[in-house]
Amino acid sequence: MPGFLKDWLESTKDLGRAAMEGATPRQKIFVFVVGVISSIALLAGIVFLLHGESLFACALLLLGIAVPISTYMRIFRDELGAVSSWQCFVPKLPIDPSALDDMSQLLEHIRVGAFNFLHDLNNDLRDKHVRANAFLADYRRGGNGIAFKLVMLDKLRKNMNHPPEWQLEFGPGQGATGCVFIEADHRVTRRLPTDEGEWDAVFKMSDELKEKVHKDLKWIVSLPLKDPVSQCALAVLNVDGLDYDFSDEQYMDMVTSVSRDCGGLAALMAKQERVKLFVRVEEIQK
Amino acid sequence: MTEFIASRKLRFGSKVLDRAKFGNISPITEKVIRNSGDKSLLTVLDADPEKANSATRTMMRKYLGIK
Repeated sequence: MPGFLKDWLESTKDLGRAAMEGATPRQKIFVFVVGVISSIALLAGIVFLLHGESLFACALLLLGIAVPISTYMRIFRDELGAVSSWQCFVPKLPIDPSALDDMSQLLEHIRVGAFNFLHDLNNDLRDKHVRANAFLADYRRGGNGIAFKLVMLDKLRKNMNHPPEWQLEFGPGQGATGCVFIEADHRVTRRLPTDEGEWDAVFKMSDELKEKVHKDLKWIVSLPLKDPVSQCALAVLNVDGLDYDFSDEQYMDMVTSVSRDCGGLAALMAKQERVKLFVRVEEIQK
Repeated sequence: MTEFIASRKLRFGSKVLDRAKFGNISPITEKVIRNSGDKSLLTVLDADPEKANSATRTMMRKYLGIK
């Protein structure tokens, strides 16, 4: 196969894969049905052509070609001509008040469940030491090259009694929250074991952010709340702790003990109306 | 200091999930699961603990990415 054809096929495959990542099951079924219809039209066109029915043949062949092209253009139009692109679907803001109340209750259940679990391991632990919050992508605060900021809504912070933290805003890939949102994978984060109690440089924590974070914060367990279809993060759930630290294995058991509530919170996020965040890079034609 | 020390991915192996103690289901979680529209989640509420635990593991994988 000629090199250019191979490249074209590869890039078409990549394009399709990237676009399909965010596609809903309905869109996938639609693409499949269009594929079947156009294949039938093309086959019928060839049959008519062989039987000398050129008018029918042309109509069917045109249909067989035009339908998939128009579908492709409609579904993949965002990616066409882009050097690279990135997309995800996040809950539309503001969140429905009744759903937000349910999320708030779930978050408190998660926090209390986590506290109870850890308190059994260390009786010195007090309720104030275990906190919980959920960060959502606020696309209304984008700008300056950043598509969105991850923020805590008032009702989605529990035991967060250090007011400067209410103003925390993380960019994509910034802080444990920003990393978990982009990677859509859970992690446990601790301060570096130095006198300054710094955070790892990988989190790109600005001085302003470091200043806002509670000085006694020791650990953060962060979980992505995922869309069950695309597997992208819809939000990030953090359970964190002051003063006392535990082992990774104990954190894993803690998460498992509250996983039903965490899963419930994710399912509730996934049920909300959504918006598509889309970042596109394209070359400028001179 | 390396990233590995400061922050690492939690490894939920089969050992952790096998001895999982999922705890009771709160009324709010039950309400959310019933209204979620995801029929596979309903088994999380099953009276049979084995079925419920198996469905919870599926829920963890689907909604939290924990394998």
